[in-house]
Amino acid sequence: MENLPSPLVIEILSRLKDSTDLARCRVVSNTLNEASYEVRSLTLVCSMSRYLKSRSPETKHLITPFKTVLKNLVLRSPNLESVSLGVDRSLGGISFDDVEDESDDLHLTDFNFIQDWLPSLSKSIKSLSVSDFWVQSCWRQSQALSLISSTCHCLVQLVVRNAWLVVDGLCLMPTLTHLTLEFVRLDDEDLNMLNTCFPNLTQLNLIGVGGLKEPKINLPHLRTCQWSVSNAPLSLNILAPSLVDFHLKCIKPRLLFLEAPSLSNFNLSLENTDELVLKNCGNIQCLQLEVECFSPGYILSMFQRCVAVERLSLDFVRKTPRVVDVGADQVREFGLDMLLNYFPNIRYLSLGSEAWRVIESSFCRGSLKNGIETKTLKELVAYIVVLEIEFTLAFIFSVLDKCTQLGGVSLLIHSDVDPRVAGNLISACRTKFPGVRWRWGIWKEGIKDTWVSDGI
Amino acid sequence: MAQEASSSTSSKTISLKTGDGEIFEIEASAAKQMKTVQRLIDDLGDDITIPLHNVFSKELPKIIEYYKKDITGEITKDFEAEFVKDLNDDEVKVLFLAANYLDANKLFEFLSQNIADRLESKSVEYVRKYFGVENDFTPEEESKLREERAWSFRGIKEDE
Repeated sequence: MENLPSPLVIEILSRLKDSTDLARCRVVSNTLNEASYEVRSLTLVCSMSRYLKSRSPETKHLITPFKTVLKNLVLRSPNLESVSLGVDRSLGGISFDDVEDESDDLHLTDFNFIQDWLPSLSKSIKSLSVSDFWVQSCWRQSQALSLISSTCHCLVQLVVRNAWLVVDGLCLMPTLTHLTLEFVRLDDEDLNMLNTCFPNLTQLNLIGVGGLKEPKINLPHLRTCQWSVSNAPLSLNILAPSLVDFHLKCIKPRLLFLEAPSLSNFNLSLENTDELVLKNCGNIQCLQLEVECFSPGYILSMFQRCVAVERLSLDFVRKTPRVVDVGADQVREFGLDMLLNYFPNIRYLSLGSEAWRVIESSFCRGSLKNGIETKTLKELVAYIVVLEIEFTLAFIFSVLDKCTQLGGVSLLIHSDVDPRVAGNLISACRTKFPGVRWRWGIWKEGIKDTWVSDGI
Repeated sequence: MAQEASSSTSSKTISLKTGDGEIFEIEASAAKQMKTVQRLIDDLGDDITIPLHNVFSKELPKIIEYYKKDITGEITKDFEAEFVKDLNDDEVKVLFLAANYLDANKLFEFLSQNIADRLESKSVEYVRKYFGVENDFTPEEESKLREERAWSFRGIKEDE
């Protein structure tokens, strides 16, 4: 039985997912005790069962407070490079009605708590992640950001969830490149302090960040951004010359302004906007759009200067639940011709079920008759619901007639469609266009797509 | 007993001799992933059987199996799970030490994580046995440490 030398022991101890195991290892022997202090990362999560035990009258005196545990672990590990603490996601489901006290034992973004242990890591810490307990944090303003920015001189990555953060006293953090704020109320209305104090961000994730009024992202090195915002802000401004990948989900801002000359992948989900300005966005190659179906024309027309778009995924959002009626439609005409007009260079097109439905009904009412061929489209993917097989077949055939280079067609049929109808559709398509590479699958809301066959 | 290297350069094999005298063949591209082996090849040439004093015939075939998959890019989470499924904790430890000796980075990382996962919620006595360490605390020191860390002694698995 060979003994493991210390460096190898440290490698293993560094990979323990829960620092409770690490703490126990310290009791094993002096050697392990010393080795454990060399560990570079620490993860501590308060589980639901620990939370319940700390509240129940029978067990609460047995539970060491979470904050005490963390402080002890940190204070003896001066080389920590990465610290991740938080409450388990399941605690997010606890509502105010379940909680009777006003304790702050799990208020993890509390300034005084962080001050007890973070300064000892100021020279080593590169990554910090705090997932706070919403019930205790949402009504307590936290000065954590000012403390983090003034103490951590080499922090590269910061993640904060479920907190109320103010930006008073926030200092410049030139080393920070990755920032994630999730379900955070940020008292930085226009994101001025964020832009000023984190100028070197390359990755920014703002998911459900509230407290914003007219936010502007102005970051010269930003390469990846994910922004999911409520309808509260009046306008959204993004100025990011290095941005390559952008995922934006918003509702109905009055103004959406984007200047991103390096942008290659753009995923935009919005209902509508009064003013959409895309400046210098001519390099977008891959575009995913999800817009409200009542007026796609305005939004799509704003993308006309994006001539580099090669891959397009389009879907419409219906605000009212889907009603199965082909006739009475308030949607304005929107056919495949219009779409290919806006995006003449696309090689790959993916249509969500609503987009397909709208374009198909537009065809049934007489569009696509001009017979001008399109030679660029090579691949089509669509999520379809077959209401009238004759119409669907006629539409598919006319698309193939028009798009002469369309070699691959992948259709996912809704699982509620009668299998015999689906079978008839598939064989009709294969018979009429045997040269096309057909792929068939099944889709349903909320469930992963299933592919049934590949190739012919 | 050095074998003739195969004539086609793309499928060159290297001969490895374990500490207990057995010879195994691996592809030259797999040997590259084991830095210790590669260094020996650079020093001794690739036509000679490379001696590996600290690796034995029980574990070397498993390591070769791993790197065979690695060079074809087929290492998936499922493969890794299967790879360690039937190994007990000591067998993994032996493989881990061998990977360390061979400086085989990918296997080393995978096995360190696997060992860390296996130690999850195990008792202090188990970890002692596993790492082969003596308890060098005095009884007073140990009980003080246990008390300070009482919170970490809940939910421990029974020793197997």
